[in-house]
Amino acid sequence: MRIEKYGIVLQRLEEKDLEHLRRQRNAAHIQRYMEFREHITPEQQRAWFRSINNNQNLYFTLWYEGRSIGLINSKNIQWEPLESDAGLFIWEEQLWNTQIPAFSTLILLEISFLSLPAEKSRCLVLRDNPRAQNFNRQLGYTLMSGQREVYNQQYELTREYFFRKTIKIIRAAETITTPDKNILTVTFYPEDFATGLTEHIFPLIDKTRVIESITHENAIIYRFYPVKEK
Amino acid sequence: MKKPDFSVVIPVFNSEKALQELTAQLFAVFTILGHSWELIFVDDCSHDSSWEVIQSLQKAHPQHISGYHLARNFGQHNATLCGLKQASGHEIITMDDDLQHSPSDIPTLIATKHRENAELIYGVFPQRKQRFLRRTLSTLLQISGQRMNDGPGNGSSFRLISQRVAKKITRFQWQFVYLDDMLYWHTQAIGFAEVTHHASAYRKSGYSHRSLAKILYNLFVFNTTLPLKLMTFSGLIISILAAAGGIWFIVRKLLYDVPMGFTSLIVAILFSTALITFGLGIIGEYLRRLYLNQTGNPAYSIDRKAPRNTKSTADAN
Repeated sequence: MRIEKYGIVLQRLEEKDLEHLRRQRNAAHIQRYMEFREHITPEQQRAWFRSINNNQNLYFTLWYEGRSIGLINSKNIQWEPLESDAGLFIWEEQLWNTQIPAFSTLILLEISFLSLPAEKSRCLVLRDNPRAQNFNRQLGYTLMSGQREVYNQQYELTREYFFRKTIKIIRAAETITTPDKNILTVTFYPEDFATGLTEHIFPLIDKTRVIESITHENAIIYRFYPVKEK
Repeated sequence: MKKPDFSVVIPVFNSEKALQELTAQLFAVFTILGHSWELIFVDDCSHDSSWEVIQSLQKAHPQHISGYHLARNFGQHNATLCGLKQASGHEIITMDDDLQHSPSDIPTLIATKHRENAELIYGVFPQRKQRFLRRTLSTLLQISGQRMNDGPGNGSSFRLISQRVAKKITRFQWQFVYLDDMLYWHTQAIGFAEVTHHASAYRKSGYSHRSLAKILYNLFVFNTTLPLKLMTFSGLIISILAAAGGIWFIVRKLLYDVPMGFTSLIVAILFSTALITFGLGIIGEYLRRLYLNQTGNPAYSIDRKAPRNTKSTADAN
């Protein structure tokens, strides 16, 4: 599965990506923002991958200008009603203060709430990471009740808040990018059919938002209308 | 020979330009899905070279494609029924020939069928890219199907049908076929999957407004007993009203001063009208019953069985 918008590509995490991901995840500037801060071995990494490589956990490597820049995920997915936990880390430090982290998250939120009928998205943020707290609040996430004193705090974005707040940010993001990069494109490969992922996703897609669905030799591609046009 | 997982039935009418691309897309979809399949084209006596294209496609893919050419233009529903009779797949997909239905939506139909455990899935469009008159006639057609057979009335020609239901409807001996009417007769396990409606790059719908109106007329007159029911009902009502009118004129004659000969004339007319319309109503009812027997429409349709075990283990003890 491959998702693209704003010039950012989300490519489903594969085994070949693990070693690079592990090295980035073990880097000091990433580790200090994670709850689990010990060194991760290749064996631990493979075991983790085996546990998340399924239809309830979708992990994507982020690609920008031809290089992998981070990892984004939608995990613990409950398909009906659609709910999941979002997560993101960008290992290229120079991109932290750009629009790339927000755009990456907006892509996932657009798929969840507009292309699919998600009811809720949750995320975990460390209490001593104000940058991530602000980031999530700006996107529409709110701190869940009873989480104020917890170290790894849980935030949630409801469907109502998405349409009240997040959608305006998506429209703004589309305004500042070129029109050719405003079309959300989702590509499904044979392995997505073989694993049954498409059995979950296809019936839930809001077809009123689809510009076209195209069949290629080895993939089915959905192209969605920009949010500001609908 | 092993039955394929899917049969795709496509009635063809003047679609020579679309068939190559449609076939290529279907090959791609079923390669991605990893299912075995066959493709059945039924050329409904096209005026262009659709049949030649079908023949060349069949030669290029003899393992997957078969083609049938109808002797004259029988209409989309009849052509689809012909294709259903030839289909051997465990599931059957019917779709249009002009790429208004995208093969890329086939996985959506399949997923919805699995999810809803249905026997018939319709691919329905969220936004119909059709003109007002066509949209109105199509909607009327669907509502007619709903009213006449208690169907959901929201179908389309993009369908995924289980082999069991397809087999049953191919036994029908009707001349005037409205497929959805027949499908509703045999199953209530019907689901709907939203699909993308592609404005065809190749041609407009094969149905003109006149054709749609003709289907509606055929559906009303030949596939239902509604006109006969109306005849019976109106016959009985008119006979009751005429008889009541006759009685009222007799009462008026007895109580008031009425010109000579008027009452006898009006009463004679009303009572004879009552007798004739009552008779017509009875004939209508007989015709309705004869019609139902003549169509070969079954009195019931079994969709699952729990048969008695004839090899009883308890008896052995």
